[in-house]
Amino acid sequence: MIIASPFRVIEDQIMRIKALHHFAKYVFLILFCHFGLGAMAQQYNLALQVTDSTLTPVVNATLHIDTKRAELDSTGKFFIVLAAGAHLLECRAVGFFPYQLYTDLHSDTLINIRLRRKENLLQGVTVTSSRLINSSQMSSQAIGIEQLRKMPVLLGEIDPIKTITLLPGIKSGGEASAGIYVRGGGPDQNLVLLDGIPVYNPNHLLGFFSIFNGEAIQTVEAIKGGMPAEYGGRLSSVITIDTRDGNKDSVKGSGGIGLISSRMSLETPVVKGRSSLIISARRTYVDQVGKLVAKKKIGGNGYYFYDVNAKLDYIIDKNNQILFTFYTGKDKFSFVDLDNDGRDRMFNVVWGNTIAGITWKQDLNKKLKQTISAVFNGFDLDSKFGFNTSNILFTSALRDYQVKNDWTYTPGNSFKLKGGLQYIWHRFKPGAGSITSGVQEFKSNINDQFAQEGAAYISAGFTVRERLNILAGLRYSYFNQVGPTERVLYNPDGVPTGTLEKFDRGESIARYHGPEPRLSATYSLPHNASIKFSYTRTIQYLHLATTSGATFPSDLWIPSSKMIKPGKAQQIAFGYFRDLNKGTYELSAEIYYKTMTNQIEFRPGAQLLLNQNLEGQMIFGSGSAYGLELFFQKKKGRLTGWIGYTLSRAERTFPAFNNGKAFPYRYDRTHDLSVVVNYNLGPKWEFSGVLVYGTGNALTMPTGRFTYNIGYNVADQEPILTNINQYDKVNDYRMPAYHRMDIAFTYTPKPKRQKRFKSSWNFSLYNLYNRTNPYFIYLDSDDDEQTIKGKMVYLFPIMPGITWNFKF
Amino acid sequence: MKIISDKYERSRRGDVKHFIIWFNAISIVLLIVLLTSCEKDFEIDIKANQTQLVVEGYINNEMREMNYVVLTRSLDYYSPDFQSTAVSGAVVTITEGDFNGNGSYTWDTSTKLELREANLPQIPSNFRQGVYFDPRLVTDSANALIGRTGKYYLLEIETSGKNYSAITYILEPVTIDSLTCGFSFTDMNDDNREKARVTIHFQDPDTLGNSQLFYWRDKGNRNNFGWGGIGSTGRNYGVDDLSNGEYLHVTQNRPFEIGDTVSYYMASVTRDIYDFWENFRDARNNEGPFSTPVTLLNKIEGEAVTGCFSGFSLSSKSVVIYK
Repeated sequence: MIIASPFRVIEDQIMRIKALHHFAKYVFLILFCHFGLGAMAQQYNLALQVTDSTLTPVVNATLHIDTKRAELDSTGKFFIVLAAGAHLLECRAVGFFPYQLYTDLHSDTLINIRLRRKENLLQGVTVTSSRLINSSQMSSQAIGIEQLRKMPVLLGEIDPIKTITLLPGIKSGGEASAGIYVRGGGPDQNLVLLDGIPVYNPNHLLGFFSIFNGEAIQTVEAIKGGMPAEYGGRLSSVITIDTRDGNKDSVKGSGGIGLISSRMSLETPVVKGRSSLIISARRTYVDQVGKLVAKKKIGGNGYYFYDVNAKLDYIIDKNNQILFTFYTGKDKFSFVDLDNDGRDRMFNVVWGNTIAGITWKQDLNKKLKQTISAVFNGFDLDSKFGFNTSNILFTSALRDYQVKNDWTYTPGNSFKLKGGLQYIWHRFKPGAGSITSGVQEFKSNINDQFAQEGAAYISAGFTVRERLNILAGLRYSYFNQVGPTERVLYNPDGVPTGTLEKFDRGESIARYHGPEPRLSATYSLPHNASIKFSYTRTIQYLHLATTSGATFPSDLWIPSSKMIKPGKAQQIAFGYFRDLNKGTYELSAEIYYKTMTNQIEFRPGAQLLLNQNLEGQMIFGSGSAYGLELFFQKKKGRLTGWIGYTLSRAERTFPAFNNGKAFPYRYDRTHDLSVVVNYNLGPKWEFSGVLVYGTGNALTMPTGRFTYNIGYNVADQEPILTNINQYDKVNDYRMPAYHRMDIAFTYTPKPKRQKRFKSSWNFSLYNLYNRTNPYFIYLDSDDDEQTIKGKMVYLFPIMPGITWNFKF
Repeated sequence: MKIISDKYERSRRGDVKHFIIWFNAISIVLLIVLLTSCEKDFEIDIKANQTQLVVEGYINNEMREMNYVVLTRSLDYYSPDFQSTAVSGAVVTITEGDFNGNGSYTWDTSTKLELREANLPQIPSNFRQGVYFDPRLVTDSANALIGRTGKYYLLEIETSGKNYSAITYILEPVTIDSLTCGFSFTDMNDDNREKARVTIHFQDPDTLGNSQLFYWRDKGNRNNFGWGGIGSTGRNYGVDDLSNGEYLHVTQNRPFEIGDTVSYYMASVTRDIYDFWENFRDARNNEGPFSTPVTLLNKIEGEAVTGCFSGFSLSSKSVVIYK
């Protein structure tokens, strides 16, 4: 006897309903042709509100009304003028089942659509990533939390940032790397937005984990080209992480217990049906486990991080909603080495982000909406380092205060106008510290820097002759570094001149501004296909000061100044998109070309911390990147997933490096392949697998060596010398290719359980075939053995992970 | 043969840089301990090398035997030799002169002195090729080449038909007032020997931009030859950007055994020489996941050459280490 799984039954039901609807549609069309002509002149307003079962607006849903298509914004509201008569409506959103209905319009009508979440059915169809062939937006992909939960990840920690690097064009720096590199851009060129608030350091523990708690997240979306005009301030991408709203009807909870951390989320209505609060928290407990296992050995050493997300939303009335978002997270690290040769080492450091924002969404009328938000974003680092008789105290911080006002005007079905203003007040605290050597103290306090960053934008989305959708926008940004500040001037040799440069409060130090035009166009082709084009110009006024490819909490964000010009990028992209087999499959191919100017590198060995003359350590150059991205996705059925492939080249040109010739960017990746598979094994088991392959990073390796600082030991009759490497071309060496396969099984013991409490297990194996991917390689010269060997350090062999997830 | 890489030598690099390196590496170290990290041999295919002339030249105002020039050629990375190939038979001269203030120099040709390779007993016989010094150091050491403060020196080299040159300056010295000892401890890793650290006391001049390098001799290296043969430590914060005009008490990290006689040499150097030696410290230990390759700065004029001609203005003091 064959028992159809609930999964199949639902699929079949959907297919039957669709077939019925198609039949009904023809019947309606015939009726419309016969009887509807008289009603042609009569038009009515149709207003739609799309929410989930908890009345929370569904973000980024797509609406099909007859042959028209529209995307809903974060309010989930939509307004359209339609001719009287019958219309077929279909609403789709990532993570929800599609919803279809017929409506016979004879008067102005309001329809509330409640979408059903797939996770409620336990064995739902998996929609892995969302991207629509008809959307004007190109180079953009979103992943929902359902997909994130199933993915095999290191030590079972859900990580949206790591997961998006499985999409073509978005690359990680390698094993345990913090940076994200989008279409040849640097790690500081991504605008990471948590509920619309920029995040400067989105990593815990040097990038092993991101700061985004999987329990709090709803969706993550990455835009790598053709950024809409409302986004700016970074050159290469926009990564938006939206947290979920709490349940407005009843108290709910969910959580997970993993190998290194646990997380918990509680949501409760504040005013039933109107307001909800959700609080999610996470903490690692490696330190506590370590103390239990080996208290003596661990001593005062330890590391942990925690983060807390909170969101309160309140629907004032049908036209007004207020949202409060809060995040705080800290990494704490302490290390003491009381060496018995008297050389004590001590290191204590705390760093983290604090983010808070309030947003008011208002519908002024059916056509006009506005959003006003005020946000705060802070990053702090406090550290103390001791070595022998030296002690160093170092602190740095960054503060952003931002206000934003966005307007959306939708006068008709084929035209949408957006506009807005943004203003950020930056305060940079590049570093204060003291260095003690024995009794001597050297104090350094690099003065705070202030800057104003503003932008105004307008964009219009419109349809030309049915097939052509255009999204054209213009952003005009402005940056002004202002006083009060003072600093010592240095000559070109890096020697302080003794002259002090002072600026009064509000006095302009360096001012930049410029237009950032954006254009995206989609032309629909027959057979569910489309071609797209985009042009993007972006300006970035802040730079991350880091000497290595990786990013660290000690890295400093620095504003554009007299000497440091803002980075500018231009990108063009073409794409072909097609849905196959009624949307079961989706494929796309995109090519892009990007140029970047005013890119910053630091002189090798440059000292960045507590350096009064940081600008003197900088080198300026340009960059370019081009590539082909292929994406093939299966969205329906028991087997879902995608294959992403990128063929690309990313280069940098700096007059001071490589004799001024272009050289490969460290993260230039000729080939990059990701395969993601989800397979429903039955009512209780689900399989998920990931395979990644990428060309190795480009490194500069020595070509030769020589001895220097030569001396002679007369007693032993031998020389004393130091080996120094000789280098030639920059990034002329390739690390071995990076590849890895991870798998995970999700086990739901009682999938049909009707009780409130439900749980599942996630078993994962990271690096299934135990590939030794290099974390770094180096050349080791052994002076005793007189041998020189290449060495590779690798981090993670095959690593099991287990997480117990629950909800109630 | 010894390649300097002990912990104290590594600590010569400025502590701020130490801090950054620790900051960047220590969490990784923790992870490596907590999780699993392994190391294995790995064949690294090195590209062909273009040989360079390497110049290491010194002139100072106090120690005649420490004025010399070493010429070598760089090696292919996987060369079996551990010492660079000596460049023998070069014509090496040093000339004293003055700076005219308009970008030009006046060189006193009467002071032009040719340095030669010779049988200096301090240098092991196998390694005398490529080391050039005033021959009077062997025959009449009291009158051998010595630098004078306030003077410029021109180094000229001719080898294999090519010419190279460099200019350095000997500053007026900043003098060490005194050396004191403190921060004593029992070194359990060294037969429980009692050790202490030296603090150097001196007045930083009230002009910005002073920079010093520190060298020392103790019982372990007292008879060694050359600046690479004696100990060296960086000042904790390199230059006087943060301490201009202050009276300074700088404690060196290197511990010495109680009772040992230790001499400290404080070399006042121009900023470009200081930068070179700072860069040298970066260049010699730049391995690791987050390091960037550091090409040694070149302060020598010429084709395919690297190195520096260092003018040291020395002030020295000795102390018997006490608790």
